[in-house]
Amino acid sequence: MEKVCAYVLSGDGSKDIVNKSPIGADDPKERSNRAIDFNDGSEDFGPLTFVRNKSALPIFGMYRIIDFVLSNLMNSDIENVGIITQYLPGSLMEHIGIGIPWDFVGFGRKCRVLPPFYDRTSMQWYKNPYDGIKKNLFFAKNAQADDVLILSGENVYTFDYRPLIDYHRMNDADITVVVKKMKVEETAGKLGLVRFDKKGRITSYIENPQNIKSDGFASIGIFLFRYSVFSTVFGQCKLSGTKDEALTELMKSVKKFKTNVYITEEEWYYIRDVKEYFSINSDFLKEERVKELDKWNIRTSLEDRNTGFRPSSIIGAQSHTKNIFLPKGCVIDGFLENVILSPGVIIENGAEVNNSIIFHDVIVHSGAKINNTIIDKDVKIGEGAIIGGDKSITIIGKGTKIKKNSIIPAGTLIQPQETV
Amino acid sequence: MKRTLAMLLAGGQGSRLGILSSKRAKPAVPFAGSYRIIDFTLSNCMNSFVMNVGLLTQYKPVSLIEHIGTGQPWGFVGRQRKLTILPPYAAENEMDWYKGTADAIMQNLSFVRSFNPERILVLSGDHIYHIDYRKMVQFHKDNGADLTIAVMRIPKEDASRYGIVQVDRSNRVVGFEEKPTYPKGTLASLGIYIFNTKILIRRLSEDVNMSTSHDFGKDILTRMISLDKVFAYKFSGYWRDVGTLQAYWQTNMDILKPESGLDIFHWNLRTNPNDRDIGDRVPAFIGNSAKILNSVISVGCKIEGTVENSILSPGVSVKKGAIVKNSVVMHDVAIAEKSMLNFAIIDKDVIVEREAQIGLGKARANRMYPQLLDGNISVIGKSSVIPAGIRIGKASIIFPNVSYKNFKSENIETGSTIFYVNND
Repeated sequence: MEKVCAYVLSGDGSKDIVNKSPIGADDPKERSNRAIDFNDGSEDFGPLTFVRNKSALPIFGMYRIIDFVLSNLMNSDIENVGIITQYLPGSLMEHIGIGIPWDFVGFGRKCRVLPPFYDRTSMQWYKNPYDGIKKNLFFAKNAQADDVLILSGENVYTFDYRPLIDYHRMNDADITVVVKKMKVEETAGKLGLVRFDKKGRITSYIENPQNIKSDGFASIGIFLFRYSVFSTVFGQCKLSGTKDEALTELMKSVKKFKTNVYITEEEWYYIRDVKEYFSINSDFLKEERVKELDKWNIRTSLEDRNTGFRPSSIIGAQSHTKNIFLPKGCVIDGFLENVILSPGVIIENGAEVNNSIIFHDVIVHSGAKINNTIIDKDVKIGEGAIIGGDKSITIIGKGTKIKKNSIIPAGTLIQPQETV
Repeated sequence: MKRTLAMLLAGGQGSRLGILSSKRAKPAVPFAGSYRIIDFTLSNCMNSFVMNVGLLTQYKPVSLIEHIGTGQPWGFVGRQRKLTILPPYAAENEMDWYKGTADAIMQNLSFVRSFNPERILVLSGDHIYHIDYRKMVQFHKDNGADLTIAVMRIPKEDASRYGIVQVDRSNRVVGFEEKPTYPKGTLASLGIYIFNTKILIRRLSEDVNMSTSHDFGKDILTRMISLDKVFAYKFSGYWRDVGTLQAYWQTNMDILKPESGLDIFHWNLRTNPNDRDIGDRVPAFIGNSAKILNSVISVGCKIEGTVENSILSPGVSVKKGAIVKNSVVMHDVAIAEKSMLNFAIIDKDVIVEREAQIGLGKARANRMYPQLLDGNISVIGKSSVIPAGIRIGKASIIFPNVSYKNFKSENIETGSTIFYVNND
């Protein structure tokens, strides 16, 4: 049987992490209290990606973003997966391990993290994820793959890759690019616009197009290559620029091959910034959406922070809970509405949390009030602290301690491991 | 703990758990939402660094074997770690079920010998407790004991339900009586024993030729007390035998009372996450019209109704207007709109239809099985359907797979029993 292997490109932090992040600021006050504007379209996740790779961001309470792609691969019977990673891969590597949760362990099955490396002739980081593939061509070769799938680990969607593979082979295509109909505002400056002829053959590809007037089809970051074409294209292309430049260069070089589109109507989310992250999470706080999640068969690592083995959650005698995601290991005794909880969260009696996302093992002490806030793992919120407001999203970095009765205004961004 | 082999007796039926254990061994009965009873003992072994476990099965072992698998969730897989399931087997001369707990170990002596353990930790798979066996092993070594029995002080009125141990000042055991009518003390044996392997093998071999019931409590212990050095290790934490439906219900409810000492949040308990895929289920969803007070809610639950003082296992749905109170509800039970449950233990996959009510009227004894149910609690068997609008009184038993045809009336009196009869 013909074999497919996949490269999953794990994300970085944010597009402009060095300039936008307050890491270099000397004044601790400035560091802790920088308000940021998430409306500027930059791919900024603030302190959430100071500690982890974007594809390792927790989502829907108990998953990480990359779980979606890995589960898709599992559900599509693709059994050889290489993960290109460079930016803060610790959480990701810990999470993926050898791929047990997604059944990547066993005869002929494999899941490997492919880190940057140096050798006798060069000492270079991956210049972009595609450069990462170029430096790890051996993975597809060793897997003896007939076709190579390239996926992005930062997208949230469910997809069966098998019909795509069948279509690709039926057409005897060299490359197949999955596209989805998108509105002008969804594509402009954000996605890759794909134009193709009546036979579905790609005629042009424009990354982040600025001046488009009508709706069109955009690439959703799923590429399938015939192995021989894959090794030629990646072997020859330089791929030394930014991620977008590299992709443009790749798409230029594939023109001489038989490159088709595969049109999908599946839901697909590319989480670009905190605002989108926040809205996709709240979008799923509805019974119908939960049922969808149920059906999708998304798996996650159960060993990561022992999430799979924690006891069932307890809701206390004085609590109020409406519209909540409640995973394992939580003890809830406060007032909660529209909240996504992660395993191990403790909310004490008398605390109030509205419209927020709370990561693993956060403790909210009695009397604290939290609104419109993302709280990263291991944060402790002191008694009576007041955090956030409707105006703008507030983010509290991992491991931070918020002192008793502190007031943290809306839109504040607090560094990991601070005491405020 | 490398030199300690655990032998876990998990063959019991648990007949006083009625229909909960009619299709599964007692250790496999679900508990605390996402666990099964045996998870407590297996997790104790894991947390005490016991590396090798022999698990003896006999009564309806399918659920149990499926649940335990290779023992991987509890870390019993590795070069020097192993969990072996030991079912009864047919040998050249004999073809016998395990005749008693001692016999079960006697029949697996070659297994025991293959590990060459210094000590054997004999455990039971049907108790809820948290212990570090390492401390008990240390006590055993310090006393140079041949056998150490874990004991606990219990209320005097309960003493005739347990094996009662008498000790001298140095904690040496001087007497043992199984379920005495007139107890001579309040130190109960907890079914946790540490034997020196050599002595155990000798005493078991002697017992084979005697006409006894081949039971640890009755035969082996009594003989060893007179012949060997037997010590009592005093345990003072939370320990319960969930042998009856009342105790099963009460022990579940203890999770909701921190003062009870049952602390599932700090015991590092593990279970098999592949069992009904509970590890892969989505977080519980608590909807807009939900009202939840003092309850355990597991993953995969979808709550739109009222839940109070109850324990919900994974995948339970409670629809709008439904009320669940004082109940233990197992996996994937569907509770429809405007139905009501009070003091109910509901086994897996039960469907409670619209406006059905369970637990009406006054407490009493079940007419047919007064020894099983005597009070408020009703039990609904696995995969039953409770038809819309039906009203069921307290202390009732609904057998597994019961459906529309088996209900002869809309009103089921208190203390009734409904059987499954296939009319087709």
